[in-house]
Amino acid sequence: MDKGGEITMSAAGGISIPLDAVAVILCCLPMKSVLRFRAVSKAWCSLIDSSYFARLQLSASNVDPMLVILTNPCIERTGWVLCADFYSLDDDIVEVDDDGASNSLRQVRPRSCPFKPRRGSTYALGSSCNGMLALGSYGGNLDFWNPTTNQCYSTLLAPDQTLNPLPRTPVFYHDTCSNQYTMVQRVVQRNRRICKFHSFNLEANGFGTFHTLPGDHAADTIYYSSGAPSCFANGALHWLAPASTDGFFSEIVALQLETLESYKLPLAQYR
Amino acid sequence: MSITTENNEKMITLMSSDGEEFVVEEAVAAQSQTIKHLIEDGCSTEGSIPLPNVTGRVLSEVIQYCKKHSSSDDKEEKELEAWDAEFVKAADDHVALTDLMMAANFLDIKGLLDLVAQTLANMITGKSPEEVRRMWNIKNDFTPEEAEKVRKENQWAFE
Repeated sequence: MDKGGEITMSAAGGISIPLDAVAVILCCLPMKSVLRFRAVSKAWCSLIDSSYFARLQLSASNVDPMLVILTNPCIERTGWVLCADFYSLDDDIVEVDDDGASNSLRQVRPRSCPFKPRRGSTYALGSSCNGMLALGSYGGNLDFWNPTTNQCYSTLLAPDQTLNPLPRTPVFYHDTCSNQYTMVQRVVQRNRRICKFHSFNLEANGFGTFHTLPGDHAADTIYYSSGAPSCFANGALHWLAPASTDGFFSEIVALQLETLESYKLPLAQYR
Repeated sequence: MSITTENNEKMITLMSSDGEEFVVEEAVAAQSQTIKHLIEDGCSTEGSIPLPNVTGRVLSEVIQYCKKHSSSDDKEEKELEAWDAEFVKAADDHVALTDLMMAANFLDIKGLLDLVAQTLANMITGKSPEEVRRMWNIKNDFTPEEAEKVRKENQWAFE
């Protein structure tokens, strides 16, 4: 039989398994099983909690079953429950409310929300990325929540970073080049007609203003609308903007995050 | 040792950790990235390629898989899937599958590694942490308090 090498037979005749093989097996499992197996041993628990495993699992999945979409958000002020319409592709994340067809978005109910609402605070729900959610509160907090693992990360912004007057819908994305999670928030200073971009890097725990767009950018005024829907796509931050003072959204402004070039895109014409 | 057969297939010899020799077509052996690189580096010209981490019993199974998958270009994908399913079924239990997985990992055969990992995953998906510990002789090194804490962090996963 085997004499040495990586496979070791114990006296009881059983077999042991190295952690790198464990990681490959765990990647094939649904999150519910993975989370249960944190209780196997300290080594398994550290492996599952590691960013190495998170990335391995992410690269192993060819679909994005952890898509989470929230609409109509609100926080119940009396409890810990986040009321929102959750939609997910993965039944494991949350309890399924209806009997939606397979492979379609399902409206689901979150098991629990780790954020205790602060007195008088309201959350601005941001975007989701790889199943994680970024949330901003009016009090200057920035929260990240993974509904699957129920892990959360909260950071209080320094006064000069506090998003004034209101926090704006954050855009949360995973930069595949640097392999880092970053949250970008657009803040408009109305009187000066400038638009500042704050970013928060989850790995570096760093927050800062990385770019400022002046109002007379590109020879004509961009009417920055602070509450406009934003999203991250193809390496650029996109948001809706009105082209004139009437306030109706009529174009899309984009900022390429790597080069910091900005450009405008026309809205699709509907007939 | 390099031998050429009548139909001009280059043959190479693989030697298991327990000294068993296997003569296979180079195209079959080269499904293993590890062996492929050894061949490219000229290691196969001087006698057999030693595989110190793989026993003869496991190596014969691996070769069976590689033979099937090297000749399967024009075969139906469904047929190959059915063959794979039978193949892992024949491996019988988690001990044999773990051996096979270690070999696939060392020999760097992605298809086999994925196949065996998925089979083991299916085997453990509904199991309790205690059952998983028993399968692979893992020591529970949590104190009762720590165990309770880990459980509470993801209570829903235990329900």
